[in-house]
Amino acid sequence: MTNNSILKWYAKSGESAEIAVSTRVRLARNVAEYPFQGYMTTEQQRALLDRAAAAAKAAGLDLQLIEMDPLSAAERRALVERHVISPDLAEGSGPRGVLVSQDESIAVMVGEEDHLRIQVFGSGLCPQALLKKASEIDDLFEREFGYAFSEKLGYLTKCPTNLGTGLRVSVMLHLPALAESGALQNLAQSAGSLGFAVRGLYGEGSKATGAYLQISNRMTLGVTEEELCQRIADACAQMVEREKKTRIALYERRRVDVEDQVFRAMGTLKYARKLSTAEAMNGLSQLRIGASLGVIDLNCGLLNDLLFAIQPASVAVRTAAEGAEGRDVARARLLRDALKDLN
Amino acid sequence: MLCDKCGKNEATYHLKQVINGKTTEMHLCAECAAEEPDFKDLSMDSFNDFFSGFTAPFGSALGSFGLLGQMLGAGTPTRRRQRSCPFCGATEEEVSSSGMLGCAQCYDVFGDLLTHYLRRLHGSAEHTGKVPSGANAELSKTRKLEQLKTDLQKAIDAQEFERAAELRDEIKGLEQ
Repeated sequence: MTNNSILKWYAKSGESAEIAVSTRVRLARNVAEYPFQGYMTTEQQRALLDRAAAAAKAAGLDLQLIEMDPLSAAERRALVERHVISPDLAEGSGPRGVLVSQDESIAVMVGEEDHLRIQVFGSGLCPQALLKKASEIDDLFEREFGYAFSEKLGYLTKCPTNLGTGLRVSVMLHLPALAESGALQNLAQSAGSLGFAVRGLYGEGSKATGAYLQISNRMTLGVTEEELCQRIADACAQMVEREKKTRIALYERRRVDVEDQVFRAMGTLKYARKLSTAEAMNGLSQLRIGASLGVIDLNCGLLNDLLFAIQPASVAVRTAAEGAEGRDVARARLLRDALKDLN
Repeated sequence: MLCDKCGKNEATYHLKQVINGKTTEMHLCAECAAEEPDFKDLSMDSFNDFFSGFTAPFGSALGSFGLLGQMLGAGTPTRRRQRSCPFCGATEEEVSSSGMLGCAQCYDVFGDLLTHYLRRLHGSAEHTGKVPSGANAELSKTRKLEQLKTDLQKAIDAQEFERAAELRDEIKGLEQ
């Protein structure tokens, strides 16, 4: 993957970006004339992909088509780590790909569980703005394709969990103070009872490493898109407030301890020769706390960039490192370089 | 009170759900409750394994997509399981076991199975959000015209003039 000079969306800082790290809006759409994934012929998959790419071009969207099959497994995993594609698309079969913008803020998956999955990403907490963008892109694709839609059930999707609006809004939150004060479990429960799904950063089984949490809506049918965005924005705003208060309280009570942790993490990241993904993530988490409390002067955009850059496949692809130890060494070097001016 | 499902035994299990302000109640006897997923999975909102995450928004809350299968399958007469979708060929069996559909038409074919499931998932079974604009109505009209013109030519070549006349009228109608 080329690392061109265009600033990726995650390298920019958005609103409340220290705590609400990023937002993703996804619209699921299917084309009426083809059966859903799993019942399509290879020819149909190919036609869908070609038509989607052509439609994007005709609509003037500056999107590059990346097909999955020609890529190596590591390259596909790196795309998954940067959240450009889902594991589903990486591991699928048949002609499929993703249409990506240069700064990777727009990634339209073609041939995943649903024919089209329009994804828009942004830094900080911004569901409404992203929804607007996604909806515009949706309108442009709609000109080319007749969508599978029913008045009663809305946009028709392969899985009934996505029916109706086909909208999934996800927000990534960084909640280390709440984690430390033991409030995270309760928070997850109340989020759940409000109708949100909560999980750790990198999907199933991950232990919310570095206290990163992902919140998304469960319901997609029977609500409008705007309501869904509003609800999640409100819920996240509350969590951000609680985290801020808890951080300040923690800092005032245990100032020296907090600073100690931040600077120890900095020391490790600046000088270690070998770092596992978990160590690096926890370290960056500490730096993020430090930045948010004003203990150190560090741009959140850089932290976001590093969070993706240290993931295993991204390290492998970027540095041609081999094996787990090779990656650990490369990761440490990457961080040393990135943080050399920090103190 | 008698069991909602079999109507024979006394109901000893009671479930009341309030989703989005809408209340639904279910009263079952011991036997029917044993088969009913709602009753089995009372820990639907347990977050003990929160850190191990939900694999999908409904992943662990509903166990797996097999739950849809259980809900669809419970009490379904065997002859209905032979249904299949005329467009994509998906069978009721496939839809039941995977919890997913094969195409847009499947929603019509298997619609009856889904209503209860949808109400449980989304708390409501009617769409209130965005609608596709009429833009593609124009497009499908163009496509239809093209198809009719091709058919017209074929009819003429085959000397089926009555059919050709019908097609010609249809084309005229659309072109207005």
